[in-house]
Amino acid sequence: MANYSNHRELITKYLEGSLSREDQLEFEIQIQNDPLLKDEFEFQKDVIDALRNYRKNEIKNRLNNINIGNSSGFNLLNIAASVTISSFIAIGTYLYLSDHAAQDSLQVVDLANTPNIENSSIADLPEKPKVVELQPKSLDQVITEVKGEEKATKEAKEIDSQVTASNKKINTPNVILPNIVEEFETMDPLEVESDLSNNSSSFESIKNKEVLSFEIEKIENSEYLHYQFYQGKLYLYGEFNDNPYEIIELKSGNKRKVFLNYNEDYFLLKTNQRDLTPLKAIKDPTLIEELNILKSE
Amino acid sequence: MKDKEVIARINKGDEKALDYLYRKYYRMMVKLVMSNNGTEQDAKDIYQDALIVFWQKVTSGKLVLTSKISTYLYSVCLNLWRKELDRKSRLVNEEKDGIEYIDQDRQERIKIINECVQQLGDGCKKILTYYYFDGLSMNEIADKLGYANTDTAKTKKYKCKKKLDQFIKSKYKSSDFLD
Repeated sequence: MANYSNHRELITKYLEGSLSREDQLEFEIQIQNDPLLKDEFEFQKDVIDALRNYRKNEIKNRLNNINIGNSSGFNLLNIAASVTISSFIAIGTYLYLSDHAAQDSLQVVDLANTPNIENSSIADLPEKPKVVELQPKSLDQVITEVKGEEKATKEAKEIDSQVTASNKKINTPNVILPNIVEEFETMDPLEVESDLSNNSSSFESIKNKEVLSFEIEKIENSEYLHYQFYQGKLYLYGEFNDNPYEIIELKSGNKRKVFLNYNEDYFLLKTNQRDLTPLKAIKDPTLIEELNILKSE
Repeated sequence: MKDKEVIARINKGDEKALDYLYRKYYRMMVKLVMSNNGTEQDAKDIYQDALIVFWQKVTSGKLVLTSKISTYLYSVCLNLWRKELDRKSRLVNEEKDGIEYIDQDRQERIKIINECVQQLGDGCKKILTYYYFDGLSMNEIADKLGYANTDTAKTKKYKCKKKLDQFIKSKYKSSDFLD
């Protein structure tokens, strides 16, 4: 094969793309006409491919062995979460059924919100990454976080509960704990202490472990947005499954102000608002701007 | 880890940066493929391939990143998966047998080549993979491997390649094919 070693330089140049277009074409014709040259060319190509594939497979094998957790079954965390969730649901159902009026003792029991829910009033779920990006989660709420992931416990359970705190009848509402928690210590200037990383869906980096000072209950309702505070809990009525929302709580000494950010608007939530009230958007531009800054920090 | 740091680490050859990216965007990419007629295994393959493409682009200096890494990876996955879907649909239409038969000898040889590459000494393996896989320049290779200058690196690479070629050729006989 001595003849064709001379061609090795030509072959190398071709394979590295350093031949001019004309020379490339000429080379390609040569290959077709000369089987020995073609053989040497294929040989060189295969050797270089093999070197590349060697490293490629090395890296792929390593990545493959990284366990991403619950893709092929349940790991301990999910088992623990499932057990806890199931027991919460059981307790919640029991309490609801045994005493309708006993609302205050209820710690809201949660549902995994999945595409399997048969309730036709719930629209399709948004893409998980989109929702997740706008709702940073605290590490305290591991259960909610785990449930929020589709691949984890796919339980399509509904609680047929009636919220008697309001006078309206809501049929088979979907009760979901929110995924966000934010708390700010100062009112002026508005400083953010938590790390809102909105460009990633990794939650290991969340530093803020503080919680809202009240509980939130969302009630799926195709009517317009309403809210009320009742016995230390915020009840939100509206279509919160479709769109992400944020609750911002500002604390200053004993005072506190709560804002809801939903669909580009901000709403002030009065914590003494016991009756069901529609949500009114904030119009004050200064306040809006401050809230925007808060949100983006 | 921010994007910049990830890229800096890759340029240093730190594979842990890839591990980090793999974990971070796994669900996003897997979901992309699985919601497009893919299985989870398909998705894994595609995502790993995409990460490798990303690695090579960064190390060879060919990447100009104008968006987030996640956006870039996402579009690479999309392209790779589309290509794969095309390939699959073509395979269905064409005669599989015909294609395999032609490449039989070559496939045999490729097997031998792969074995020989495995058996290469570390020094030669490194210099050849830095050159062909990572796309590093002779200058960069000389730095990384501690050679005196780029000429030394060039010579070493030439010798290693030649050694490999000869080793492979000694392992198979192409006389059947030629005669």
